[in-house]
Amino acid sequence: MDLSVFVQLLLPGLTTGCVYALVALGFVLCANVSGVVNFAQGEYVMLGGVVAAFASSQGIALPLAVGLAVLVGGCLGALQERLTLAPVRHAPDFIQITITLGVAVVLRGVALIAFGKDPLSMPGFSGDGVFEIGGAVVALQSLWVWGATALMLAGMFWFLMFTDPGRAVRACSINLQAARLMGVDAERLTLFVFVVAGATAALAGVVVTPIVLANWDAGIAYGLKGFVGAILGSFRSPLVAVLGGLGIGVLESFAAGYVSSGYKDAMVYGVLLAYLLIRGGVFVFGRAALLAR
Amino acid sequence: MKNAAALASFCILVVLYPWIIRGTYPLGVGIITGALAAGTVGFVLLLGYAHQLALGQAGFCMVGGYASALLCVNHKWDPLAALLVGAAAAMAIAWLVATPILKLRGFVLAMASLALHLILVVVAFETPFTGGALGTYGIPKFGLFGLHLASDLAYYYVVWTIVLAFVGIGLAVDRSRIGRALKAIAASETAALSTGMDIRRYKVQMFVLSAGMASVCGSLAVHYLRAMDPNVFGFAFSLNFITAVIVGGLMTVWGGVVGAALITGLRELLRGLSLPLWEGVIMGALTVIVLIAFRRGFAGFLSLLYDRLFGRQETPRVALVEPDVSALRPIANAATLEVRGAARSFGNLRAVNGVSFTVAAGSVTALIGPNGAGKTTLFNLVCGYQPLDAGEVTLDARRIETLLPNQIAALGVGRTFQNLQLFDNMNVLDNVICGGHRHLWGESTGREKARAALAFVGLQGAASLMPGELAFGHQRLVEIARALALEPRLLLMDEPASGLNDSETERLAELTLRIAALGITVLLVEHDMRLVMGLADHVVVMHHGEKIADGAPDAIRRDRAVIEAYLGIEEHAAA
Amino acid sequence: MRRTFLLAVVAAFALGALPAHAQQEFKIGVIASMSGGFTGPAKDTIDGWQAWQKAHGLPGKKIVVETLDDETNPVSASNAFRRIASDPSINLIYLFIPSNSVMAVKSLASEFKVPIIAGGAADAIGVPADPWLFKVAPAVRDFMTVLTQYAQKKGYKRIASINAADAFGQAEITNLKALAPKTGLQVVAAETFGVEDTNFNAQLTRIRAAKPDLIYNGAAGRAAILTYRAFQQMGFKQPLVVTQAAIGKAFFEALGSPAAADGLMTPMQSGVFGGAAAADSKLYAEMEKALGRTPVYFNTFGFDVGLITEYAVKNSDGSRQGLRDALERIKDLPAVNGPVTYTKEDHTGQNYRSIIMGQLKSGKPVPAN
Repeated sequence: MDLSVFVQLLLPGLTTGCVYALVALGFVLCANVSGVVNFAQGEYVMLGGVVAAFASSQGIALPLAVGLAVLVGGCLGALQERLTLAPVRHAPDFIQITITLGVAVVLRGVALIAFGKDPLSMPGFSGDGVFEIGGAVVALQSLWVWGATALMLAGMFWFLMFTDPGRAVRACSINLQAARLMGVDAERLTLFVFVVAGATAALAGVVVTPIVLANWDAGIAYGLKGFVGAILGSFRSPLVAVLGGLGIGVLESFAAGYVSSGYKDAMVYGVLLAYLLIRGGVFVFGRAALLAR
Repeated sequence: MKNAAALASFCILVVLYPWIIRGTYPLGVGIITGALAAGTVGFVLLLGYAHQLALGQAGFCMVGGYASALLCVNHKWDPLAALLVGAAAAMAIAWLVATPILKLRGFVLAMASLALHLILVVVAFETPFTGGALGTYGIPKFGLFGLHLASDLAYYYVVWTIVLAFVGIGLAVDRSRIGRALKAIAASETAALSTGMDIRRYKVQMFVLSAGMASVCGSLAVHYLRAMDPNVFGFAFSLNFITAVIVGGLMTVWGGVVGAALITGLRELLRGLSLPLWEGVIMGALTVIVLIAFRRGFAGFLSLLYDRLFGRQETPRVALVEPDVSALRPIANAATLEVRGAARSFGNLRAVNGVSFTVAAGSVTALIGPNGAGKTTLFNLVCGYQPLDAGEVTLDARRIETLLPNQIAALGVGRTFQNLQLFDNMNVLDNVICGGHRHLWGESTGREKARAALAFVGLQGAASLMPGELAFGHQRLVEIARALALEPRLLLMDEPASGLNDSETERLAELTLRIAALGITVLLVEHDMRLVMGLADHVVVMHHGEKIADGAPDAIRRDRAVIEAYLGIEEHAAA
Repeated sequence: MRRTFLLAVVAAFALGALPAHAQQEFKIGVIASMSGGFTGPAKDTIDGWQAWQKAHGLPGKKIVVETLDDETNPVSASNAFRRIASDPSINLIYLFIPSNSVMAVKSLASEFKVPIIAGGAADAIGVPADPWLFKVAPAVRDFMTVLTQYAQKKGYKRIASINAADAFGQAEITNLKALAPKTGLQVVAAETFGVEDTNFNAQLTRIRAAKPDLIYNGAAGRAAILTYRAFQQMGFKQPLVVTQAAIGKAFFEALGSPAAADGLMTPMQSGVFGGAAAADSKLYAEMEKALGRTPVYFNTFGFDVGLITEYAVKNSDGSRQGLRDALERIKDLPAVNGPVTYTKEDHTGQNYRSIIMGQLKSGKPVPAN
């Protein structure tokens, strides 16, 4: 296979990878500050997509529809944190995590009832055209996806490096207990990251909807693959998580293109399993392995 | 007692159900409920006991389902043999996956099991021998030892007998030392390690056991469905497991049975009301609400009800009596601990920087230093809670710096914690019994040894109280009793006097001397100078991560560096 | 309306005048996907069947329907079937559920001995025949036969296929591979995708590299929309054939307008074309009138189910065994989509003769030239 095939697989892989990357980032932020892996993360992508697509099909102007979807994502993030996590802050981790799973199931169910089971479509932000690059054909909307992702990542970088709450988040990722002892207001910060994670996921969902459509059951796949990205970053490093998410998107595309489309998912999850088995120490023994994280 | 009541009502309900609600269909619902219950009982052990969430439990149902389907259809195997082969295969897969993965912290197993499940689905789709997407059909009815079970009623009873057996296994686990260890791990992993419990091992065991039970669930279900394809046990089925055990109750295996019945009943009800679209919302909301509002679930509710109806109020007993000095026997093999060049950094901070010292056998050695001197870090390095960057730790000339905390504990090293780490989900006696975990004692020996340790610290009257019902000072004594039940050759005490008042501190000093009199080597990390100077044979002083002095208490008292770094400040403050 | 009905019932009771056989109940159990992926087709089927009831019905009998949801899931289908089949008052069962679910029921059919008329396209539903289960629509094999015959007619030599990783997709590709050589056709690419996939570039890139003359796309639902769009964006010029399940309201909405899909081909049962193209234009007209709108494919399927029921009831004593025997005697029964035939060995019903290669024109299928 030649270069144009390579590009044709790479670019759409990057586009899906952008969504995984933003989901992975959300996972990492929430996990660092609250200690909870939020299994509902992928559902916010789905919700952003269906809300924006539904709004735009009702004749609401595109920027408004996008704004609405992001608002819904952020508000639901806040609601999830306030209603389902704040009351059980001191419960064992596995309880909190199972709760986020329950929330994910509820969000899916609500989307199914509210928007139906048919896929919702939405016009591209600058038309449904395509452009050609390196012999490959790519949807124009991909540019919006890449742009929005780059913008969000830049914003996140600025936030983490140059703002006080951002520094607090980083402190939490180094040592959650210590950061809390040092006076980081964990309550407010947790609420804040859930809002940010919900809103970014929703925005990611909006920008890809013109390419992939929005469907009530799409959240699991996004969540799962974003989770793989987050694991590659050990739930610590936002940068590695983002790269991991992008990598999963590309890997998926290459696996389907170069190996077999049927075994594509098996390969992505196989990579996850293999990574975990190796990290977990098929070859590592002793104290270091137990305490690696 | 409560279990006997549960068992009786379980048997009565199961036996009578087909006779009260007659018909082929209700019987079918009973069979499906039973098959699900076989899996959920195992899932309680995983989620409720081992605290591991698995999102891909249905993957093991697939293993069992396909084993039964393919072996019975293509190779005409006996259904029971196929079921057992499926369970064995599921357990083998679970063991292979969980052993390395459970070394990782966090909730990695949840996703790993889901990844495994999804891989199995793809394989089932893509490989010809499974029948591909259309699956395998014409699976025979279940049979036992060549005996074909023609009637659904007979199958119903077989399924529920298996469920009963699984409940029995679950209850046996609950009562065994494994069950106690799992409860201890759930309450405090740190403290569980200090008693020599191998956390990972028990979690792996529960994962493997639950995988086997899930596989049986799959086998039983396909002999009823008579068809198997990759969609039968999908992600929704895994969610069913989770919802069932949460609604049913996580804290007891009965919760699995109750949950399976409730979930199946609810689904049938929703179908009757033509509301299946709402199923996701209702199931998800139930999970969230039960976890937030009443974590013990429906089984917990029944248990409370039972207590309300039949329970007796226990009268609180007097806690502290005079310690029984002769309760424990002296030991002859006290351990020597040697630390050479130990170093550990956190980022740029050198918490411990090349520290060496020796704790002689049978001595009481104190490790002192101002706040932030690196005492606790050093302590954690010795016990195995943190890895060393450099240096050696030896116990009786045996290198232990690469060992895990539980492995070190198993060598006879007991420890206590600065912030109390008692198992608040079991009573004082059980807490102390956990201390003897490494000895593989039988139940009665363990109990006896624990009572002796309690008597030694003067708490024999508190055995049946919960730790939270004791005064803070007494809780410290429980922790020491737990460490003594380990029958340590070396006892490490991390700031045992912190939070104690004067008279309690005095008692602690006496107790420490009594422990030393048993011949046990004691290493004490302490703040309280009076306590240290009165107790220790030997004192090691740390400052800014380095050792600045090492010697007899009197010599330390006169050491210039020590006075400047530490004592000076204190005496200054005192003056 | 309801009031009149009530009055009629009251009158009937008061007079006791109506002959007993006129009130005889005929009870049909329906297992349909009222939730999950197959909801749309199931609803259309029921609409079509109700149109039959309005146009024909069972003279002298009161049809009572009991419907259960299978949630588009084989386990639920199997449970629902047991529930309905164990009710002795049920005379006949309909399965308006996807192929896997029908197959799950097939392994139980002989146990309950109730005649079943089933949807689903999988070949294995009709052959080998279960004595109690009768399929209606042609099997996947028949659709693929029409596809390969069309290719032969047009002189195409290389075909590429892209299918979902589900029972339907697997059946399509297996049949296509088996049938292609007979018409001198070579399958140059056989790609699959997961039903939840959103990115098909990899598969399409491989198809493009295989240089086919004709492409068959077995995608339905969201995947149908996304693959069709991807084919357009990547500038495929080859004729594209899709499955009839792909075309629907959501499909046209996503493309912007029905005209956007002009030229897309699909093998369809003749009933869909309506008018003169329908296998039986008189029945088609009756159906259209009773339905009150232009029928979609699953409407015609539902109507044909009704016609088959009608024959079986008319030619039997109405007992379970009687109905079954009557069903198996059906030979070339006229139906909207084409004649229905059952033999002891083959319970498929209609076959490739009821299928025509269609082409979309402003959202409406016309026979392809």
